[in-house]
Amino acid sequence: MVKQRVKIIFLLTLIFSIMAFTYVITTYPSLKANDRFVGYAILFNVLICILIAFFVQQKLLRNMCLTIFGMGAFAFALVPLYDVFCETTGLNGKLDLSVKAATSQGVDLSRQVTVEFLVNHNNQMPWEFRPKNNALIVHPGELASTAYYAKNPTSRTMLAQAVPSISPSRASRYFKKVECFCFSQQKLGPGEFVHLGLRFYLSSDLPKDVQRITLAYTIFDVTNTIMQETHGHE
Amino acid sequence: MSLTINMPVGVTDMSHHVHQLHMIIFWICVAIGIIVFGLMFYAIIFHRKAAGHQAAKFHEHTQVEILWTIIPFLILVAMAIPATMTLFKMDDVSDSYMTIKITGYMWRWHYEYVGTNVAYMSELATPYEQTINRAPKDEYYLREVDKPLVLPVGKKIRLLMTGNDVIHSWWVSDLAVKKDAIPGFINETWTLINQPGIYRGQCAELCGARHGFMPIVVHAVSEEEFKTWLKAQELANKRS
Amino acid sequence: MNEAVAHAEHAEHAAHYPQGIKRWIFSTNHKDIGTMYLWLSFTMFFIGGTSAMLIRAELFKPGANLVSPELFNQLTTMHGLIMIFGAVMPAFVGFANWMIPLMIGAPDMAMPRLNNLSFWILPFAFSILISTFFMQGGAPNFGWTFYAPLSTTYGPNSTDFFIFSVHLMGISSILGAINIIATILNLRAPGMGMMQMPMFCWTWLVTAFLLLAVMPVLAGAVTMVLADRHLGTSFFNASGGGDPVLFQHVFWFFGHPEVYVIILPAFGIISEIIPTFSRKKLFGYVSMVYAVSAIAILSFVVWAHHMFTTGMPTAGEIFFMYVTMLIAVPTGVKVFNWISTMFKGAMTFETPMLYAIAFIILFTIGGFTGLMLAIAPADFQYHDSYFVVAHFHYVMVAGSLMAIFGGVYYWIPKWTGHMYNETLGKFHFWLTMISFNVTFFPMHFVGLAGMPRRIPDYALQFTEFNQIASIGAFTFGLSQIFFLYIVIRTIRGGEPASAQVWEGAHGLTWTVPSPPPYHTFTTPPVIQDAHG
Repeated sequence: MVKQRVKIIFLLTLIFSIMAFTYVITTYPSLKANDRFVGYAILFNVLICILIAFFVQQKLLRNMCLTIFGMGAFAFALVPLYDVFCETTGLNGKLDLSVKAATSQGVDLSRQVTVEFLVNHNNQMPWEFRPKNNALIVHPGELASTAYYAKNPTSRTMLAQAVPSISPSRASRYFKKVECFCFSQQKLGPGEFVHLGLRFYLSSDLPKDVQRITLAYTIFDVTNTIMQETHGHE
Repeated sequence: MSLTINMPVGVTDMSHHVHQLHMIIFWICVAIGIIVFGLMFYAIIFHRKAAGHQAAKFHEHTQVEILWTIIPFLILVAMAIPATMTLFKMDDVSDSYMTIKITGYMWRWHYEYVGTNVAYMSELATPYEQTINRAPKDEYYLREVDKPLVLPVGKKIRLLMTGNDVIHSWWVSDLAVKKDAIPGFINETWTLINQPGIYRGQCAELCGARHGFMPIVVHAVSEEEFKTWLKAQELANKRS
Repeated sequence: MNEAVAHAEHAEHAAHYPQGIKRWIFSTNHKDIGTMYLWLSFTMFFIGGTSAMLIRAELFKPGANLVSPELFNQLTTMHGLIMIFGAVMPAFVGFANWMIPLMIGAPDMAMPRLNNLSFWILPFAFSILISTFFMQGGAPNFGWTFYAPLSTTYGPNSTDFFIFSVHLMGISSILGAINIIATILNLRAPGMGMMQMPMFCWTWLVTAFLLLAVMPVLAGAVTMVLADRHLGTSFFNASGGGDPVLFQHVFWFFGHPEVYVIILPAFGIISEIIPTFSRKKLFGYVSMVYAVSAIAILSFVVWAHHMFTTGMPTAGEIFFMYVTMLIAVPTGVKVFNWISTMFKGAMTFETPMLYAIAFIILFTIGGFTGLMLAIAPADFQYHDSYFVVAHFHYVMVAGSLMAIFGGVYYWIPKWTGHMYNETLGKFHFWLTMISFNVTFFPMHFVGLAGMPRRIPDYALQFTEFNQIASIGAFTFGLSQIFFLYIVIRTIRGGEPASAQVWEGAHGLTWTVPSPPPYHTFTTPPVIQDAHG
């Protein structure tokens, strides 16, 4: 009889906490992008797992519940795990992108590659945004610098995100951005302008048949979106 | 009255290759169809109960089964070879004469001649009255624009596509070019038009209510005409 | 003798199941649940068909005719969703429910209560989906493939209901698939090994595994769309580090196996019909099993052939081109096996056989256009044009739907105990067959000539073939109302059917009376006729 009651209370608590959880994350958007939130979520799931392990006697039910909340913990744990994964494998360009790494490879003076700089404004984003150089001729392995001019002509403070895209796509692996304004969001007040720097090099194992690379930045207005934080590729 | 039943041969080397590929595969399929359906109809006519035919008992034959697995496989290999060669040619964007950046908007196209100050929107020019059946439709109904894309013939043109809002797709079948215009990314392709003329196409990715109303018109002209036109555009833009 | 036993059984059990509405709501009987699935499917078929009629009416001539472009996009979207998820898939589940226990000599499905849940989720799912037509902003209007960012950023309010509806349908399919696998693997009568069971069971076993594997992926895709819309994520939004093309990868990883889910049970039905009316065993049973399995496995690695124009690296295009072409081999094997079954048989051409033969011809034509589409450089001209529309209607309508029609005519005497009227059946067949081709064959032409998909209005050169297609479509639609009449008439009465029904039919199904008692095979049967 007591066991029945405990079961019912446990179940109700579970349902209630899931409902509360859902309510909270849908009502408080700022919680979502928060690392602390992820930590709490992992803890929450692990705690439930511990409770289940101790209090649920029936083997099948216990294993099923453990699986569900274990998966929940794993899902949230993926947030830091992805960073670890990307760093170890080097995917998503999260390699050692220091200046030392760039120049240590050596410059291939026998080849010249034209790097073209283009701009796209997404959804009629009102900022002025143009490259300082329309194109640069570089040698693979050579560290190059250029800049983009950005101005907010409107009367309100705005937040922008520049997203790079490289053509031909197979060249993107060899295009290493050491310093790029696209790593973080840019905030400009009304009428404010800025010169945004870009430092990059083409790794010397760039395939020989690539003679021209186009780097296009699409600039998005992210003022009203949830992403109010800077996500650096540190 | 148009009863076009086939893909256009088009005006580029690529469109010719694609058309050829299309026809080869088509005829191979027709041949296979005739053989296979022929056998089936033979059975339907001669192996019917009404004609007094007695049912045989066989229900397997390993040799034949192996044959009709291997032979189709070989036919596929034969098809794959020209297909692969054409694909490699299509993906080779090197050594272009100029670059056009094409941006798909809801619901029109924007063309920018990279390296010049020439850039403009290209919108559907069909009058509204025609679309609501209040005026007779002219010859190029829904496939005419106010400012076409002007390109020189005989030169390899690099086309960079992107989208402004949702995914669009730039398709001109006379050139055998179709590439998605994806917001936030650029896609690269090329074309080399052999013949001057006017070539029309449409958006080929559902992009909202007026997806069917954002056509493409390409004016291919001689190199001299093109240079003259481009210079005039640059001058006009400099002045304004 | 059989009748007397059956009658006694029936009388014994008559008191054991509820009557009236309770019988249906609480049913755990595979025959009743099968019936409900089939009626749900038929209803959805007419609703999806109505949207198709409106679409073809709008496309009858250029210009704005009947519906606004906004409503047109809703109609095309809902037509696809309702036909795929509401008409074709539930029809095959209905067949599975009715026939699998009978074919393997099982008293019912392995989990009868789960079976009930799987069905009853669907009326709710579809009510939600169809109700979106009446919501502010209208029904989903981004195509049944709901690409981002059209669906994420620009989708109407009803998108979230669409997402919920898809989740419900997915749950129904997954639970149903689990049930089917458990039934086939565990409840075969003693003596019926895996290689002795009817081919329809094999195709459904493979289909069930496909469903288990890919419906969760659809659920993932749809949830990611929901998250992008409301939870501040950027899976498909470049500004937050995402990619619209990611949506296409996730969706088509589901989408391609899904179309094999739609055709494999049809293959199974054809594999039942042809041997019966050829009076000859199915040719190459073992290679049929291998072919179905090969098709299923290959279906997982071909998804990006829907994405050739997205800007894929050359290596990717080559890989997906080759693997897609490869699927033609096992599919060809199946077609050859069916024809070899017919060859040197003693054929008669009742309505089910007519549908089966039409299936072979027309599905193969659809397969040929599929092979053409696989050729990546040529696909640049075909993609998102009416050529694709023609292709998939050939394989889904002349394929799956005709197999469904054939299956209904084949098994309705067993279900109802009455023979359908053969003259009417043949009339329905010829009307359907001819009007189908009149509708969809011209679409190859306009597609090749340059007409894109999903447009409510078109350039003048596409007029003639669109008119022909529309006339064909209206005839096709009317023919299906005729089919409804035939079905209802058969249910209410007709020449009594024997247990055997068809002279050439073999298997446990044809040992039970027509109609079968509420509970069949309550004791396991002795396998006399090893099928295969």
